[in-house]
Amino acid sequence: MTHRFISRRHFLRTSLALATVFGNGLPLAMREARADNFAALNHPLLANIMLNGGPDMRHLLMPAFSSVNGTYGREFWRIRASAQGTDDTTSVLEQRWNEDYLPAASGDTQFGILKAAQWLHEMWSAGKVALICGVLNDESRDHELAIRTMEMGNRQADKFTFGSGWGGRLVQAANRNVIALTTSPRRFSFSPNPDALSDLRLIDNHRMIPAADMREFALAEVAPGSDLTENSNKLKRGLKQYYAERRASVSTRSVYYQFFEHERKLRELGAIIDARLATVPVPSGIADLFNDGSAVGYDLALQTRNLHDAMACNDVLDICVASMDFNGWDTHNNQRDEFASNARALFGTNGALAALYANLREDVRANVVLQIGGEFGRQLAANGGGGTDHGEGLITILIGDAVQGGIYGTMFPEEEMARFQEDSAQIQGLNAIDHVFGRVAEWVMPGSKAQVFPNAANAPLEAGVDLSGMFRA
Amino acid sequence: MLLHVAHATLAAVTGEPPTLPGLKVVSDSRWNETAVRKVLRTFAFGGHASDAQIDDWANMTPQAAIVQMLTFGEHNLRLSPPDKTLAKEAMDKRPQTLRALGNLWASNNAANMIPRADRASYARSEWNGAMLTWSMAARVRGGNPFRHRIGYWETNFHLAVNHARGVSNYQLVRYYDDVMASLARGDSYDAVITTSALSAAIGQHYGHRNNRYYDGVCYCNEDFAREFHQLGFGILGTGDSLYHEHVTIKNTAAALTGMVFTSKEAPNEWEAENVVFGTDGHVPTSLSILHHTISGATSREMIRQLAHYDIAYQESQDNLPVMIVQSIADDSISPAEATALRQAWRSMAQKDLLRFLRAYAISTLFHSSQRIKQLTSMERNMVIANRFADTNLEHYYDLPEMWRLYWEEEVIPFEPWHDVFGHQNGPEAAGSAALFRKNYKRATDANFGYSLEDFGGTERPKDWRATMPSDKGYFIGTSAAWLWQRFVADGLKNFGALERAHLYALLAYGRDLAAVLHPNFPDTAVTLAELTHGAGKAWLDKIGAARLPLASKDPGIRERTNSRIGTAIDFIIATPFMLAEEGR
Repeated sequence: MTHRFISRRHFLRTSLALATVFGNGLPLAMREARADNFAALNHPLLANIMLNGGPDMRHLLMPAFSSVNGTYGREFWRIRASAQGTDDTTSVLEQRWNEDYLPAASGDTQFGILKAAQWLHEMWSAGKVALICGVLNDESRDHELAIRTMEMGNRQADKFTFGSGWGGRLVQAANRNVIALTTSPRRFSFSPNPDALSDLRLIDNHRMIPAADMREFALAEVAPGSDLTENSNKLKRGLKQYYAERRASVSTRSVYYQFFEHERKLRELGAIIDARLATVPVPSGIADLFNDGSAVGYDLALQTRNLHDAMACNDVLDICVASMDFNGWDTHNNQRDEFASNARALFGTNGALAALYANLREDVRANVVLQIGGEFGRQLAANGGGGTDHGEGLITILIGDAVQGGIYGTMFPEEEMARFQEDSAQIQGLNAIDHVFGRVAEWVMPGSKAQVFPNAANAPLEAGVDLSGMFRA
Repeated sequence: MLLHVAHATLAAVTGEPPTLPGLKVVSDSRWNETAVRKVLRTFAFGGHASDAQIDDWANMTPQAAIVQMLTFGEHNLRLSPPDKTLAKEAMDKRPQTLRALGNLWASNNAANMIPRADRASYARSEWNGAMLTWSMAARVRGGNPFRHRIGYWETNFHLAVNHARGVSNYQLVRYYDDVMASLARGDSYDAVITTSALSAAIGQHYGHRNNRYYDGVCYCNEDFAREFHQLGFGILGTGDSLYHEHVTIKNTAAALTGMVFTSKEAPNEWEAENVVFGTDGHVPTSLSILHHTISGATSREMIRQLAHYDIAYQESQDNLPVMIVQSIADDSISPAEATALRQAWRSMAQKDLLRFLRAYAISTLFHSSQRIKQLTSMERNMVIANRFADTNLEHYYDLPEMWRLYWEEEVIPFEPWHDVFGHQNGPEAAGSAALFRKNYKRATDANFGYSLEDFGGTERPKDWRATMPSDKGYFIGTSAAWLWQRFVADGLKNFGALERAHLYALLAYGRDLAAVLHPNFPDTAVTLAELTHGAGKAWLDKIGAARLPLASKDPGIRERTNSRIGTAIDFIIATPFMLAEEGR
């Protein structure tokens, strides 16, 4: 079994490739990279952005308002009035629709995208957004469990089932690596044990590159000419040598092994990343995300910059999946304001994704898809606190030049109307993640779905839904 | 103060034996100094017990020792003897509630040893007041670090609330103190959870302070109605999901109606810390929840009643004990271990958290090589701080550098990473190369190696003679082993030839190992093979037996030796063995 990331051979190959950046005889990809110091991207790259908390995508994507009682467009707005921060008054709701939603349509489905998410609307209008509706993950409405099943891509997991993530299994199938851009890697990026691929409980993180800050990656080294009588320098040299020597005597199954791996990856990749990023400035649009007054918080701004930088280094990191997250979507109260704030940060014209997209070259854009969603959907009706409570069916958003824009699954099932007044009625999940994410996996690595989602055979899919066209040929 | 009638007086006050069916007590032969240190590391951030006290506990039966080690009183002077250098402070006689300590540390009281410039930050009116007070309370000598370790878990993991999401310091402090008082009283665990559930902090965070029930309509959110069962008791409604979703949660939301917040100390209504359980806006009828009829004129009456049923619910009995142990002590619980934990928990008619923790802490489950605990940033930094500082003044001037925890590792008490789902956990910390790098950077900044400690402009040498044992003098080998055991507490399992060699070089020569053994090619690492054979092995034996001049009459030599000890500590905390532990 080849572990491309871990193998010293691969590291040496990468190092040699980098070395040639400054020499002669560059490989084609590296020559392309050299033109603007940002590597060419010649294969699909999936950026998975987890919105923790169970985002109410029905708030982001409301049905077109209707003033006619008894229609879906009126009755849904009626049961959602408090989450829209208003009373159930036709004129007030209509005003909200007119002022705060941007109209969109697909076939007979008329809907609006929250104005705070204007960039998303622009991308929708450009045919680069797929909305997969009625996605089924976990039925427990338990955040922790639902996040875990979502990240593992294993709907059969229970409260105490842990294991590899579907992003990790995908890179295993693609024989590439996953880069985790969050402070701590999400389970999504935990790769499987390569010697027991069918056992979803086993983890082996050789293919995962934890990169919470791409521009502060490397471990401190003793600078040439430094005073080696200084305690700091004694420790830098001593610890480097200690780790290098001790690693060989630690079992790969030991709990301590992961720390030796951190040290090695930081040491080895740090030099490579530093060398590359020294020649890739942070685009001003992304740098602006960190400014006071930016709609984007520090954590999301950092991850966005990380994603940009990871793409810039994609050749040497050999990545095809990136992992990000964005918290704060559990809007039981004050949904109108909280959701708008989050939507602006992520999807606004000055938000994180707009800044990223604007600063990618065309050839990179062509191969990057952003996958965005939470662990579950909400209930149909708003609660009494100006928010919505936990439900089931969710909407997964795909954005990218490679995406075939449109709606997949039924966005606003008419049957819901009969349940609008029921207690705890939820948006139903009909399309299992095994199929939805499985299709995404197929885009990244054709033929990978069975390995990434081994339980797909018995997973449900809404009648008549065809996911095969989600990506452009 | 929320006063709950304790459902039973439990181990905290009656001396219930610290044993439970399913949890086999570790044998006397395996109950040794290392076993004691592992308990302290996991349950008391390392604690402050002297080596002599640790030996005493190791020489007792585990059952006898553990009831001295783990207590919920405000003081445990065996676990945390007072700092006798600060007689005026008399921490061992002062109340250890966050409210009392915050008041002291924010004041100009002559007994307050916090630097004058820092005092205001401890006030509840200041943004960091509660978090700084807790952090100091958990480290201060003369208190009870076990109490605060569990308090941290209860309020930052089990039923977590978030200061950054609008929970005020007044609410946080009241919440924390009420929960800890409930535990100290020996309330059964459902009563402890009830205290949490009915706190202003929880009501503020989840927003049910505004829930009202009028004319058959519940103007409510379901957020805490769900989490009361799920996070509080481990009940997801598995196998009964329709009833759980449509009846239990809906009706629990209705039960949580009619609360009004009033202020005793908080200057503003939004941050009020006191809850009045009113009848206006409270559901006027009895409710079906968990297949029981719950009645009561106020939410307090209903939630108290409901908690009895929750704690006895099958799913809670299955999940809650596993959740507790998994979150505090073991990242890798096998199905067989979960079964044992469930048996122990189920055996208690009245659920007693202290008895359960004690029984677990002396069990073969805890002292098993299969147990793995990856340290959170909080645990690591607290252990390092407690094992480095031997005076409260060192904490007050932050010589252990806890600031790095807050501002570099971004782990701030009462601002949990995952909001109500808890703070950074062990696997997260261990999985993060960024946190590894920060810890590594901290070590290579080499701040423990400074020979002088700066107490606000007054410098004093750190003197390890106060704690390091002497046996007719100090020796490199025994001193290095003592340091390793003090911080890592693994019974020297991972203190092999390479670890010894690196520490010996720093202690004996004040240089890195390669500079000592490879002076002509110091960039070439010294290998294990070199150290386990021939000249390398002989060198280790010789240097290990050499004296460490810690007791030198020459103050310059003493200062240099203390500096070398500090550098050795910097080395130890950068090793993988400081970042996780095994049960054996």
